Amino acid sequence: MKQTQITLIQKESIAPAWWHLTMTAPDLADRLIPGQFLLVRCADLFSCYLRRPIFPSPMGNDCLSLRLRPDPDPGMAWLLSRQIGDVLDVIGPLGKGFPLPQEKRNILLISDGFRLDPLLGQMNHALSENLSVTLALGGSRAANLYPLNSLPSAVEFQAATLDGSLGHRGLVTDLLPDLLVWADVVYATGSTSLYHSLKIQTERVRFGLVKDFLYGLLSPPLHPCGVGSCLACSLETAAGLKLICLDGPVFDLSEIGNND
Amino acid sequence: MIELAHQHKIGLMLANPVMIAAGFAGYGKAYHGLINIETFGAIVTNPITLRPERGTTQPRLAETSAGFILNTGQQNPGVKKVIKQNQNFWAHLKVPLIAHLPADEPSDLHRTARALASITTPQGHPLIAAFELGLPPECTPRDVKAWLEAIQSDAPLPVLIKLPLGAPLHLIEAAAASAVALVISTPPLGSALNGSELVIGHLYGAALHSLILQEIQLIRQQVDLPLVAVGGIHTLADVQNFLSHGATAVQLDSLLFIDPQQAEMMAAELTNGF
Repeated sequence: MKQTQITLIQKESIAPAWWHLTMTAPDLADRLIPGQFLLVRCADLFSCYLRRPIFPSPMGNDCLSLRLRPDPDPGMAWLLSRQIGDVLDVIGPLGKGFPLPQEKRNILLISDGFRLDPLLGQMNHALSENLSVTLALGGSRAANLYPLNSLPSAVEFQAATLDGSLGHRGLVTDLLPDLLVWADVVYATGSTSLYHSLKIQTERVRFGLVKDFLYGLLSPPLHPCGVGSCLACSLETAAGLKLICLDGPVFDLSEIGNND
Repeated sequence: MIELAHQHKIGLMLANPVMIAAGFAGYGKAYHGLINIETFGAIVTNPITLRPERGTTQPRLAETSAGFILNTGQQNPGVKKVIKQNQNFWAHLKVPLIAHLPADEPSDLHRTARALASITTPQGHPLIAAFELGLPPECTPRDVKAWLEAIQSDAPLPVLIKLPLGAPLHLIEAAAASAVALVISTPPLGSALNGSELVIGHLYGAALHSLILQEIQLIRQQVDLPLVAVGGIHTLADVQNFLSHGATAVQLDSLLFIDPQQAEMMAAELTNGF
């Protein structure tokens, strides 16, 4: 972990609701595991006193990739308004990322939210190992989902939208019964209700939730220190108190309570 | 070099007057690898109590304009586990380590202090250089006396006392009578919204600087003891402001979250120029 500068070298609008930022980060990119985070200094101390966590994924050539949607938070809004050539002050990589799949064939990536980069990082790794990958995304409507045309063709894609404008009409968790039978391991990012459904349905479909099957990324909007000092992110688990910034943000969901 | 504990037989020598406040560097290891924490004059640890403390429930944090509210409720794994988890790291740390002890039952404080003072290097030097006793908002001079006796009866280390902001004169005098230095101050309470939930806790951020500068002026007139200023220090100018207006040393707090490199540079600057 270090405090260093990264530079925005590319910024493109990839859909009405999505931006793709590429940053050179020679000190960090090769060491960052998908799911780990950086704390980035945003805007001014008055509107944005604390650093904001971002969850980029490494994309080779000393670069990091970050997909963002417009966000009312002043820090994230400032970040999205950066231009090519702008420099960001970051601390990281912080926390524990997603583990690499060990002796797994079928990899399920699932999200009902917007921290997609860690999943896409896992996807790239799984494809390079010739594993089977299904990506399931949920959202309110097609325009809010991460754009499909930018996914590799080897990935099986499933969508769920509340208005039925793409894929299944309803929640992404409606797709779980079939997907959970197929999957050897699940990597998830999104809401706590997604994690809750994943646990309940895994117990139902697979007759129990074992270790090393469900991984979820917990991401409170703020991490004051990111290094285990401030204790703002403490989390009750079956194994006692944990810190999301040190022990997570990726957790084996079999080890944390249902209400987390 | 500055001496914070003139009257004390062991003393407390700092290479520079810039310390890290309790809650902002864990037990020393938190920023290891990110900055060189040995650059600082001293490190004050997170709170240490006799038994494990679970702390408060979530949400614990809310951001404000130019600051934040944080309430962790003294969460710590208890003195035994703190020692077990950190002893090896402390043994190689070349910077004075000050253990922060929240006020507690005197018998508990006594055992906590004794346990911490008894850990030494193979040569017999204590790994803890001093204690910082954190006073609660409501307490009496008698309480202060009882806590100090409890800490010092088996642990011959210097004790700094961290006062609540706006402490009454009789409490300041009682603290000054038994401590080697006063730490000014535990930040005031505030509340702010995290989503729809109100978080009540200590206020950190830029506004503290002027509150503490004023508090230092008041206390300076009352007691003749080294004062340590803590609250809202963001720049070298902030440090110098305190040092030229009554403080012998300072503790950095939220700057560690915002810009750890800047914090380290400020300590380095004052090591050379002091």
